[in-house]
Amino acid sequence: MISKISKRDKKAFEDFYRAMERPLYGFIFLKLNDSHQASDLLHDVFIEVWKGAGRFEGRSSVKTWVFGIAYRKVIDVYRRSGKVETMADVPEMADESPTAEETLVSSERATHVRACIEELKPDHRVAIELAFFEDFSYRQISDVIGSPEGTVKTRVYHAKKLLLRCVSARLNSGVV
Amino acid sequence: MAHKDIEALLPFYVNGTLDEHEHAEVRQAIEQSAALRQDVEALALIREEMQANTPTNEAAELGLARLMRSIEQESQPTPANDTARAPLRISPIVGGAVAAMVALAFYAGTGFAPEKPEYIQASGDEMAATLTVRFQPDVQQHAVAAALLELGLVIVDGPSARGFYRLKPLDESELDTLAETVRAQSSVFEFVEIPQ
Repeated sequence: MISKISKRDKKAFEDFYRAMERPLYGFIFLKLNDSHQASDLLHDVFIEVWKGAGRFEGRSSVKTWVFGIAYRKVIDVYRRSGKVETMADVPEMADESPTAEETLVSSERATHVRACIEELKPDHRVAIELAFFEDFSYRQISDVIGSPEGTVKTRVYHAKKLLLRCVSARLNSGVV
Repeated sequence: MAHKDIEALLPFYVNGTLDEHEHAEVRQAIEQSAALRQDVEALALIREEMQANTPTNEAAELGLARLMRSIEQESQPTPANDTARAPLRISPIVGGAVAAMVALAFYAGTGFAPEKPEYIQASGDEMAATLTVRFQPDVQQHAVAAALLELGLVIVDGPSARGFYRLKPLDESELDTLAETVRAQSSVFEFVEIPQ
């Protein structure tokens, strides 16, 4: 399909949009939390695909290539708005992860999960969202964000710990 | 594999993307650890919640129309005066549904800002008979369509990078009064201005 798009095949481009719009919009919206801004950025991503399809070398999958474009555009938005943080090392702590039972029993689980994801640092958040929303492997996440696989594993490790701890804390404190 | 490494792979065990060797190692570790099993259960539920609540783009089709318009424009030489942007004039009597479709089809265009128009209309005075608006971020597409039909407005440009649209009234008289009426629909419109 990318090959067709590189030859200015508008039908292929339309098909590509229909296949990728939903996951890409979800990915972008979750980072920006603004539907207008997310729509504009989504538009820019597809324009870049249209213009850059000829440069796609196939070293990664098409999906990770496109998510990589979206990721870099989100980072640009973060930079312009001063949102980018340097990822600080997460201090090693005793494992206070909740038991599964603590995590499972809640009718407001979705609310807690959402709130806890929003509390994660951007680096952690991107890694865990790509792993769980898109079911990317750590190798694919590495391609998308342009960081080594070991870094991705470390971020997901910390994101997982912080997420479970946060959900547990919210459940125990009765936060809704 | 160290315990920490196993823990780092748990999300990928849950999403099923580990290779055969990694999967076998993690599975063996899980079988030997109640804590890891609990983590896996919790992560599986979190993944389920996240996937069930993936945000959707209400304006996906409009986005496609805007995109196709952009690539069409890219392939055409840019005229000094962009007459292609002249607004459609549709009588409300002709049919509300048609008006809505046309209006929504104009959810397109390159950026513009209310205080700094980036192109000049062929007629030179088109800005004088338009409103600049921004929709509420959470407004539904059907609410936008209904409001435009009710007010006799068509979208002639937008969204800009900042989410502004330019609307043209079917009846160009009493623009000030119309602007007040539009402002009153605050559930749909977040910002309304008559460009100077």
